[in-house]
Amino acid sequence: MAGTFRFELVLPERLLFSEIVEEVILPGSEGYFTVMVNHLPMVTCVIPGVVRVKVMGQAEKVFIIYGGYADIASECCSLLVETVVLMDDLSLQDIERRIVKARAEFEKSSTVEQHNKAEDFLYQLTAIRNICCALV
Amino acid sequence: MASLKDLRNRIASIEVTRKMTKAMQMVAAAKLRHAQETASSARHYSQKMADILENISVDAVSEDMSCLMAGTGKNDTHLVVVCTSERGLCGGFNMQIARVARDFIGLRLTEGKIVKILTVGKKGADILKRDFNDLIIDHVDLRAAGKVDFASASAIASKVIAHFNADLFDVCTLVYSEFKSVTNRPPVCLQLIPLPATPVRDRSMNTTVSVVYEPDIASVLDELVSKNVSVQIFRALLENAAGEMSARMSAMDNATRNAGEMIHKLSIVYNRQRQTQITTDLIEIIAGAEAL
Repeated sequence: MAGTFRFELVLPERLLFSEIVEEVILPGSEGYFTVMVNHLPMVTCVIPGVVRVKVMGQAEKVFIIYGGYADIASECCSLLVETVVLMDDLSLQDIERRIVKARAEFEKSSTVEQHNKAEDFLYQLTAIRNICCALV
Repeated sequence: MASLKDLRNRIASIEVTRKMTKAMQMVAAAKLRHAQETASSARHYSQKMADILENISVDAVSEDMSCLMAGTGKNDTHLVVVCTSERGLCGGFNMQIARVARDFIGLRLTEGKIVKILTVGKKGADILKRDFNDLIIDHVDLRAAGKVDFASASAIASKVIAHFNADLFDVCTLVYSEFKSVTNRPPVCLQLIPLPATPVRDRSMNTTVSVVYEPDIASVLDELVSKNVSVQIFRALLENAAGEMSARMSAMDNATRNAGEMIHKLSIVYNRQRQTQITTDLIEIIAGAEAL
């Protein structure tokens, strides 16, 4: 049997999810990666994407996040995000709304840095939409 | 001397006021419970954020530090963010925060520093306008939002960071009321920018395994420190909300008690006056009967 560790999904308002899990797949800044027990201690920025959580003896839980941070230790993984949507509650209109907002930000960005950041965010949101369209 | 009718009206009026203050006290007690729960739930995020920042600050060298963490290197211009409530009827809650803010601003001004004020909440803005109207550069109204949420805190943080990036201040301090218990909510000044250095733990206490930062320590730190400003402001707003409700509850409890005492006193006066009038009437009747 695979080892287990505690996974916490923390919102600014509350602790949303805290359970013993087998593995978690996170959208890291360098690409998707899997966290299992005894993972190398790591702090990473996570980008908008899909989080898959494999809980012992239960169906896989899928969350959509819009960026945040992950603090990974050998026995615990904490994911700090501002907004999270459970895949079952996903609304494509919500993603479309965010894409429109991100596109407006992208168009009005003045500096190169802002422009690149807005472009990345828009690209990540579009990627989420494509993934969600495939999953739904 | 007030007539019996006047006294009756006054007692009835105070009775209505007592009912209102009692209702407000009960509403404040219910809201306080909710505000306390919200504040305690929100501690997970801020605690995690503080833990990550503490760990990073051990590993970070000065080149990795973001501007928000290291500051501008100067200490000439101060931005004071004063968080108060939007509504009154909560005793000296807003006045206490404003007093601490006023002392802090006064001290900086006597040191010859330039002070700018950003007010959050109508009541604090009204008080500070009397003394420092020309120093107030911006005001955030939370009435439209209705309740304290992270988006409101992020909007305030964005304003602060935009001012910092425009080189409008060197040091930013947040003034709010820290909620410790229902009776204890001292106003505090918390430095937001540059981030105060956390006591560096002994490196030998750390595990031998080094932490990996992705994409790199400077980027993670940069993102985290700017997010930390939002988190600290959010925490301040939540603590303020809990403090405001506890202050309102105490103030309304006092008001209810005072109204009860006043009704009691007025009832005694009313009864005495009524008795006097009855006695006078009786004497007049008896005197009239005897005259016949």
